[in-house]
Amino acid sequence: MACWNVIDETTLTGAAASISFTSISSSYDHLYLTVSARDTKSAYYNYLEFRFNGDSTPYSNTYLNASTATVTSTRDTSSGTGDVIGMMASDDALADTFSTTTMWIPNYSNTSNFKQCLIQSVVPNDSNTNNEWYLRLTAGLFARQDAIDQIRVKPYSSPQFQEYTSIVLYGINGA
Amino acid sequence: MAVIEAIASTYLEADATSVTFSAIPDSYAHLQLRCNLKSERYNSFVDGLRVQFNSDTGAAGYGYHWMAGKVTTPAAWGLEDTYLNLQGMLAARTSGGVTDAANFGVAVIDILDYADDGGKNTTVMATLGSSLDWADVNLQSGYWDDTDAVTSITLEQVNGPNFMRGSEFTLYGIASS
Repeated sequence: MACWNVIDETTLTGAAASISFTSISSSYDHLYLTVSARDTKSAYYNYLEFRFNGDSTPYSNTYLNASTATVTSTRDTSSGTGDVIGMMASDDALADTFSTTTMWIPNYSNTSNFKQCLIQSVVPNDSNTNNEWYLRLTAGLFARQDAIDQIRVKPYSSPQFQEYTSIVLYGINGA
Repeated sequence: MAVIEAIASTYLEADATSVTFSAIPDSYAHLQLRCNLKSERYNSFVDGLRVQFNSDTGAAGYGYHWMAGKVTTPAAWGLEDTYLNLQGMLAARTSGGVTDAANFGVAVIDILDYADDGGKNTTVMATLGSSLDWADVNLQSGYWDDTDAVTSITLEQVNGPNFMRGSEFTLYGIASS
């Protein structure tokens, strides 16, 4: 089997509340997602939520953030988030401009360990005003030993993904 | 077709003012540039890596933001500009101490949905780093305010005057089907 494999791809032709990948095969070593996203929220950015296997707990996120000249580090537990969290562009960002997010989930199908993931998110904008752009690194924990076979991706709260939002799910193999 | 393929690779046998990848096919979903590089900049450990799409020198507008670790003090900022200047490329610093001739920095630049023509501006996510007396590691965003498909990418230095001999640049295409 090839090292890199496309499991599924979605590009929206209209607004949608979420994008889900189900029945993910356990036959790969790692998962990798690319997300080009923008939502309908009247803001510059929003949280980008990744939920595994339909479970709302237990998650934990540790972040390295910048949306001003000061870099910050914060942590959320499942009581505050309910998902693994990246960032995404919202409707007040520069027109036609979508955020970029990538996520690695190593050893997603093992049933012995919790699932850790690494997310990189950038929200570009034509502004240097505080909190009108965003850069984030996330170390995310899904504290279950179950294999991951579902991933739901959605904007936080009620906004919808805009048209042209695209997500690709890859399965990566070792030797 | 493999999911990830090398479209083109350039290894500099001599110093060069710029590197251009042209006639980029639209048959992939994403592009990724992986670089091992160094600027000839005279008086600094770091230089900016300037990216131009489709030979646009600023008519459409570019912008970028960066979050950096610099030795012990993290920092962040950005600019709306006529250039897309990624931060943190290792430089020679031939004044006041020379960076090791064998030392080159690293850059990985993701360009999602680059072949989209009409729906999206071109955006990039980049990580650049080098560790020396002046260590620098960066996560960065950038945009080109144009919805045309990307067909060429030109890389230059903000200060330059050259990429140094031994720098290497590889452009990969990543498919989605």
